[in-house]
Amino acid sequence: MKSQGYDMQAPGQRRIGRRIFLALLAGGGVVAAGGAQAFGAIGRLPVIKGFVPQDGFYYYTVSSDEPTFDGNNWPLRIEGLVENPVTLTFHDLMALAQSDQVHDYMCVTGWAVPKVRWQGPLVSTLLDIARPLPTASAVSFDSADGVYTDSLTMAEARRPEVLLAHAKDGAPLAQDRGAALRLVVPFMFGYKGTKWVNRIRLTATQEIGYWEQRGYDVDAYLK
Amino acid sequence: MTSTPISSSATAGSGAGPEPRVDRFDATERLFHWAFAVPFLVTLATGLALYFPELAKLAGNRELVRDIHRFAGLFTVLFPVLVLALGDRSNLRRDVTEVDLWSGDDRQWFRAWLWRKVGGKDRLPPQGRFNSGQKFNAALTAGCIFWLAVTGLIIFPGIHPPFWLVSNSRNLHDLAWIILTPAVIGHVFLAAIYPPTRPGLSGIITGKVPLAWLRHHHPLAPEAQSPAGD
Repeated sequence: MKSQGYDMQAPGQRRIGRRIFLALLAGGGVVAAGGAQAFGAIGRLPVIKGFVPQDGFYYYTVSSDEPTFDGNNWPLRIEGLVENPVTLTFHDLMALAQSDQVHDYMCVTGWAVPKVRWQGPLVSTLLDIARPLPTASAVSFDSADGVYTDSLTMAEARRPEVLLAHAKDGAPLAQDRGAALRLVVPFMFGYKGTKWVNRIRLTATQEIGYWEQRGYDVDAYLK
Repeated sequence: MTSTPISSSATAGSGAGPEPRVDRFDATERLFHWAFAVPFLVTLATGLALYFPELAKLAGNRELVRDIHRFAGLFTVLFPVLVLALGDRSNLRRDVTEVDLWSGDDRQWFRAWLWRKVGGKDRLPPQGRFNSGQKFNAALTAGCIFWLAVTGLIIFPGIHPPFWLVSNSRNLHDLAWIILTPAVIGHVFLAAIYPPTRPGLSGIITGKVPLAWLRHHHPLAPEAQSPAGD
């Protein structure tokens, strides 16, 4: 079974196979150089559209059971190195002073969503209620999925952009976006923003978050 | 020993002798195909679970899915390269030439095939070892795999390129799989499911295909000319 029967280039033959290949290489290069603008369209292609979020976000989870929020019951525990360990109901949180901010959202895996509007109490407001002890230097935010966690230094957590959002773009936070409560840290990559937050713990030293234990930078400042 | 003509057995129905089969792919070609296909399908499945929310929820452990995706992706390139390095490349080299060169009939076949999808009735000219749809699929796969491999390596862990580079690589990675996946689905459908074409599947498993099938679908292939040798 050798190749004898196969003529090499005969009259009338054209090298089209390599042209298709090279066209794809060139096209990919042009498209890549063209930047992200061209790509918003991918998630809106037929077939794909029905299966991906239409708000520009991608869905990441590290556990197979997604916490659910019925719109009412979402006890938030604040504990650890505090004078006043407390459990706040969702209605307690809604009664606090609310912050309303618009920020670009950036994921370390290479996608971004411009001008996302978040609403909810500032984390500093919550810390004031629990009154951190002088020994507390960092704050951990745990997810109700029982797996995910991430942390901020006390100074970062108290910045006026850091909030616990219950609404996004003017509507109650969607389940996939982290309802009832999602941490928003606009000056850091998205992996700092724990979804489905149900516990805030104050610690003496900063804990290492879920992805950070798996190689991500603890310093998640946008660069 | 003089040859006796085989009179009726080749055309007889069931109950006759085994239908004649001829060589289609040699060991290196088959190994190359599967060294690519198996890790590729694992990469595709895990990739879909990283992309689509409902599959991500089903899978749950994103770290595990991600790691399988990374290593299967690496093997999708490494295994075929290994086969190329160690195998007998002569027939594969011929296949690449076949994919590259399109005769006038090939171009006519491709146009007629596309036209038939929208109700055209154009004649499909007889094809050689590969028809131009298969040639197109091979070139498309190679181009998409090139970009999937390059962009995949850029966003591989341990490397921390600037955000714009990660972002552009991710977008091109998405575009490449969105182009390639329908081609793969079409390929698997025609090779393993669609009744008129699936008898050729044995070619990539045992190396041999029914002579009658080859004569019908690839009448200009040299193996279709030779008498059945089994």
